[in-house]
Amino acid sequence: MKRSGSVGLVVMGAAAFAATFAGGMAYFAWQKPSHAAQAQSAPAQPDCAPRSDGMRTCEPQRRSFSYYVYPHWVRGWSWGWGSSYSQTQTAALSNNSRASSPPAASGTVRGGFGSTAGSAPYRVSAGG
Amino acid sequence: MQRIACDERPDWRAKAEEAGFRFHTIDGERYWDERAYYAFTLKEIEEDIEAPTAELDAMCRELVARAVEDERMLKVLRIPERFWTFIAASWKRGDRSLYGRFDLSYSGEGPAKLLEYNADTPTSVFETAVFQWMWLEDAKARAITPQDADQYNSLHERLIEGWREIGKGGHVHLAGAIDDPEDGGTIAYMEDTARQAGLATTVMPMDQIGRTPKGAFVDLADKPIALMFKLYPWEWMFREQFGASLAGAPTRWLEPPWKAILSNKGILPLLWAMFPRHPNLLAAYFDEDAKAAELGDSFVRKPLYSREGSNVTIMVAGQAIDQDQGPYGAEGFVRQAVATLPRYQENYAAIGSWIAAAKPCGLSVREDASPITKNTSRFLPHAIVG
Repeated sequence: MKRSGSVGLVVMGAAAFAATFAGGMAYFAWQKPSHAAQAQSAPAQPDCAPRSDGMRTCEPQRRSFSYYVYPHWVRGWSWGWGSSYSQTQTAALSNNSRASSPPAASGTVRGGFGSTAGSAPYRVSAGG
Repeated sequence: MQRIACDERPDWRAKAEEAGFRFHTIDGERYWDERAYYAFTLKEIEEDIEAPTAELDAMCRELVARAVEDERMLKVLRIPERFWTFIAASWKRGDRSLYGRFDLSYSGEGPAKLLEYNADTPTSVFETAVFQWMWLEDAKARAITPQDADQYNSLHERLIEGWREIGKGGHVHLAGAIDDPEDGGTIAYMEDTARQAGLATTVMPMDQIGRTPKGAFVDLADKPIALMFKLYPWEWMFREQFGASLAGAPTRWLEPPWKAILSNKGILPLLWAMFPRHPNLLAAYFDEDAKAAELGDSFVRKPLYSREGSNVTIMVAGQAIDQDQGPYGAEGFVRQAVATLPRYQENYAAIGSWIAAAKPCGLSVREDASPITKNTSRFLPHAIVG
């Protein structure tokens, strides 16, 4: 099927634009502390709550077409999880230890995946 | 297939950043490049790319079906024996795949040839699904392309459809090396397609996945991970500490464990053995196979496991004409017949043919000054004209 084979796909193009921008801005806010500070002052989407420990959980929402054409993509808009995410990930990156973390009170251990991406001969990117 | 030089949009960088496409320039070099586009005819797309992609996918699935019943195949792929049951169970359970990308050599003349299959962790999905589509809309409006130009690209819609089928309105966790701009951007995009399919989502760094004393995988809130999209290779997970817990954990994974078979360059000789002289395959043999001599002194040597051209060597008449360094190769190599990428001026072009929710659905073009496509190879848009 070719992209323009369906009228609905044109709408999807707009959806992709706005939706992907949202993801990209959230990522960028996390990458750049200065932007993350801006994001802190921006209202978080109610269905996409940030956590102080670096995890972000989003609940699905129903989006009308107006969502995609309304200019959410003004500078500084984001999902609002930037600053805390930045802090958490920076700490994780600065520690290249291959050992997993000690168990929490719950007995949960972390750090048992992800070591190869951070090890010397490999690029950080795991995609191809 | 033609390479058509054209004017780039003066504002493309602003548009890219507005769209969240932050890795359009990598290490100061263009990654996104719209100073030219590739033009295909509809016939080329349908007959030479789309149909062969469906056929290659079917052949790959046949290969998996055989491999999970034949330990010799898993052994020759150097898949650790302790994961054979885990992989086979995933296939027999019918775990669904979300997406993949076949890399092809194609010039518009003769059949497309499979170079390799990025079955497990394909990237460049955002720029394929979204940004090149945005380019086409602008390009038509600005008369860069004909007004009736189209694009082979329903990847975005197919991803959403795939999430609907796989996630069924549930919750998906997405993890990877999200500190990397490309991987982080890819995960952000995949998350958004999941949300558009009605799934709840949680993004987390790969190294923050938790394991409970009972061996279950949990997120940072200690909530069970029922479905996990990981932009992280299976072969890396197998050898890392938590790999030992994979088989006993109830988590479903995307891509599914059986993709560990297909993300291995060893499938190239296996496919050639199963479907000899298939028009979309190149002759290929394992490095140590005596039949490899049939390729003579001209072949492409690839590690079983590698990414983005690393440790690939092109040998012509016994001379290495191109070689990319990297950390891979410990598990062995395959040799594949040379299918030099088509060259347009000083640019070699490789085709990425996408499949999502089990249907071929899109195309990407990467260009490089060298015949080996690498992580730095530029991404050019395409259009269907005529």
